[in-house]
Amino acid sequence: MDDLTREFLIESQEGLDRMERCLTDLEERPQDRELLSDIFRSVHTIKGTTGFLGFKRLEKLAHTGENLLGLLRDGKLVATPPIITGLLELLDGLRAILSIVEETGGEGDGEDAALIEQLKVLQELPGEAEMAKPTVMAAELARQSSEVLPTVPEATVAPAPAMPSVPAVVPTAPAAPLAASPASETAEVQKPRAGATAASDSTLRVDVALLNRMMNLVGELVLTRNQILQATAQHENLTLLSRRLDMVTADLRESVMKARMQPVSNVFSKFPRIIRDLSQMLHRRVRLLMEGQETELDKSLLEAIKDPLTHAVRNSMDHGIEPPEVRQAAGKDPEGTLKLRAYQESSHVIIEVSDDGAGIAVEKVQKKAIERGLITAERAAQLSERELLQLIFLPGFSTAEAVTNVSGRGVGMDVVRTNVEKIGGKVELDSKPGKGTTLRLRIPLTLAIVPALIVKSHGQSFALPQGALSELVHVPPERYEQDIEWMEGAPLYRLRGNLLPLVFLERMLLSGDGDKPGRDRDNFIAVLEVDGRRFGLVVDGLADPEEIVVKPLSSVLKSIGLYTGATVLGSGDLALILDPSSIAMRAGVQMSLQEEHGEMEQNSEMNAMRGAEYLVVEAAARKAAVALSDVLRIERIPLSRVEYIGYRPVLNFEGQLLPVEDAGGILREAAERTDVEEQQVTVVVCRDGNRHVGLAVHAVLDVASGSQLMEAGTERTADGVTLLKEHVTSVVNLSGVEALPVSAGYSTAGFAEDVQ
Amino acid sequence: MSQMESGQKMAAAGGQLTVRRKDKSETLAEVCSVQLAETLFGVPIQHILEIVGGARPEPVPLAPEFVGGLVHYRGDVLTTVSLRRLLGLPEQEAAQDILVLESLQGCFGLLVDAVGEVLTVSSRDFEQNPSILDERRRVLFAGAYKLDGKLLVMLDPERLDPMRLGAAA
Repeated sequence: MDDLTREFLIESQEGLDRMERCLTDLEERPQDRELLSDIFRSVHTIKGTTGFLGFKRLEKLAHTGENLLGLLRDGKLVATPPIITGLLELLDGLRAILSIVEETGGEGDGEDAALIEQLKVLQELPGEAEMAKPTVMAAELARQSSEVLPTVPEATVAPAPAMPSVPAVVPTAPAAPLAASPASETAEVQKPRAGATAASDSTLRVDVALLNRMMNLVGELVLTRNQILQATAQHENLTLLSRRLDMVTADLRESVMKARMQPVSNVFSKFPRIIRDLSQMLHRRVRLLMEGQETELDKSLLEAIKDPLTHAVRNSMDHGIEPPEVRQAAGKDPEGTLKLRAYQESSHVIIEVSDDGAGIAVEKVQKKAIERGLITAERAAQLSERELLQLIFLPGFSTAEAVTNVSGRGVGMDVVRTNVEKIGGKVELDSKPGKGTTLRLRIPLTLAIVPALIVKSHGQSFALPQGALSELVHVPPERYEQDIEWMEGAPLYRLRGNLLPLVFLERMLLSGDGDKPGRDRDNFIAVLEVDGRRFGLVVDGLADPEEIVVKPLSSVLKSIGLYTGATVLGSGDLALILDPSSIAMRAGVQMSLQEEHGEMEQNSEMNAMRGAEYLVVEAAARKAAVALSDVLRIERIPLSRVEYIGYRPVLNFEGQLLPVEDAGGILREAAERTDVEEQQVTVVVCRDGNRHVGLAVHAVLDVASGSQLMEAGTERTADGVTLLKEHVTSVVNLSGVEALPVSAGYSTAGFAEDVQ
Repeated sequence: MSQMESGQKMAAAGGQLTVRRKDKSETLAEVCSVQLAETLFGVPIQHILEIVGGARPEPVPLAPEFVGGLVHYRGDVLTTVSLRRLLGLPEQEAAQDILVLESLQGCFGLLVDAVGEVLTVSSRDFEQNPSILDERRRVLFAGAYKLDGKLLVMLDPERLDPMRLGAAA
């Protein structure tokens, strides 16, 4: 295929996509001349180019369509639902031929006579169309527009070259023919289309492969930066330079990542059409609301959620929203609402598909699951409503009474979940009987860089994606025998009363390493949840969490199945990225419906009760706690760096003065000792509101989570103390550290020097 | 195929720089030599992208026997094939050299003890694999050049490609 044809295909497909969007909008605003000319332009362009390239079949079809659209644009015809249906069929016809061209290079020898005839018939109904314009206003508009053609009608001229605000000029009249149609739907597009036109002028088509390469290189830069940051931490004059490198790298990474981002409207835009078709097929009346279409997502992820999202929408249409009669009987608006909403929440994009339909009947789900043998009746009776809802994610589950060709073939929600989890996302479901259902897809912003926990096994580092990780449990060697229970060779751990199957990473990777591996060392259980499977992966060491850049593996190594890629750590070492779901499969961990959600709630309750994490420090033989969220860093500095303003110890950090609290008398004590040269002291640098303060301590002991203490009798939370490892520990009051005297006349630094 | 033709074909793959014709019956080729245990191996230099020294590849548990591990190479993660493992020799503890080779599926690394000098060999000295060579080696080797007092065993990068080895395993 030559370049010209390829260019033509891309251009035409874009044109047709635009036409599709406009057509569904047109149904709502049949008089919108902007829309009409947009559609006309798309078809016209195709016709023009096909003539040039010699695609006769395409040209003929496009020409017939153009004639019809010309009449519409000139206001001689009004876009009634039959005409729009005809135009949609034209669109499908053109697309079909284009795909033949793409595959074979020729346009095939199909017959379009029926479609062309239909389009011709539609052109011959101007009289009827005239009748369809019930109000004077519409007629007026049509007359006006035919006069001022091809310029925009006066009424619509906005002060700027920007787009006239569309709804203002659209008469309400078309509502009448619309209501008569079996289904009506509205796409509330909030994005001003003027912006879209402007954007197309300032954008450039870039090869995705090139972008991938750029992303790869930026990833490389990120890794090199990490290494440089680690290497230069000791050199003062390099610190500034490396910090700048850090900033530039972060910015660059963000921009390249942005270049791969596309608005979700690219996927959302096909739903008005799907809903239109489905509502006619299923005899539903549905209004489509879309929100947050400008939310952006990585291109590859956008592709990946297309199918799950379509599936979810079909499900909502088929099982969620009831037929109008049923809705009316239930006292609801006969027209159902389907809402697509996208928004960003920290490093995730949430896409919600919600309907105000019947909701999911929990009893039905329960009955079906038992019928299909997915769960035993006894087990089902024990499950809570929330857990029962999760059953619909099991493979082979479908509640549709009859198999329709829309949904109900037993593949459904499990596919949605699998697809979303494949890209590191999560699916959540909420349903209220009689009120509706909300399906929430939680998608990571990008796949190229993922947060991961670095775990160690047998001296080798592996990266474990954070997405699947729910918690970590430490099993010290002395607790090994008690904590890890064996059931005929199957290791288990009792996690809050439930048995959690364990998989020893070492045993899996080295295959067959005696029984009871790792008996004499520290073990860490990473509790993983993936594909509805829940298990604990036992590793022998943990390192820091890192943002890792995923590098693909060669196919030989990919076929092992346990690794999704490899990455380079900040230390420069390579680490393989583990794939939790294949580990689960290989270990034979079954789908479980263990009280995941119940536990999750419990967890959050416990977290709330437990309160925050604390850094446990020791000063003057006493333990004290500092809220971990306040700790900025821990410094080990030579005593000589501590200076004094009067009696107050201060530290000069890169030109900034830091008051040091010496409650334990550590500095004083150290200063009195003369037997040791170059004494080192430990200072915990903390944040207190906007200022930073230092705490001189003897040693940093641990990080522990503390729980709040209630005052006996009053049930009030006690301030200033926390329960750490079952000991009452006092929490350091940072705001109690005296502020430095700062006067307008002296710079603080100068003051300190003077005193010295 | 005669011995001569095979040698010519091999050398002809190189460009003008690596091949000089003396007369019609002889072509010269440049070969990077690699000493491993008792044997001197050779890899045609036109297949070598780069030689990375002092590498310690990261092992990949559960990988096929011949995989020597992973190394970080120019922003990508390179799969290496260990020549020692291929030949069933014991692993070496010390850092090794990696020949980065180009294959149809992309690049891969050939892990060897140490890279030696580049030799110029003549097609006249080329001989096919002897028939008594065991099956495993016959698949890997691409004949040998008779040098003064020793043999230079040729390795064909195409045959060392992990994809191909993986399919054969």
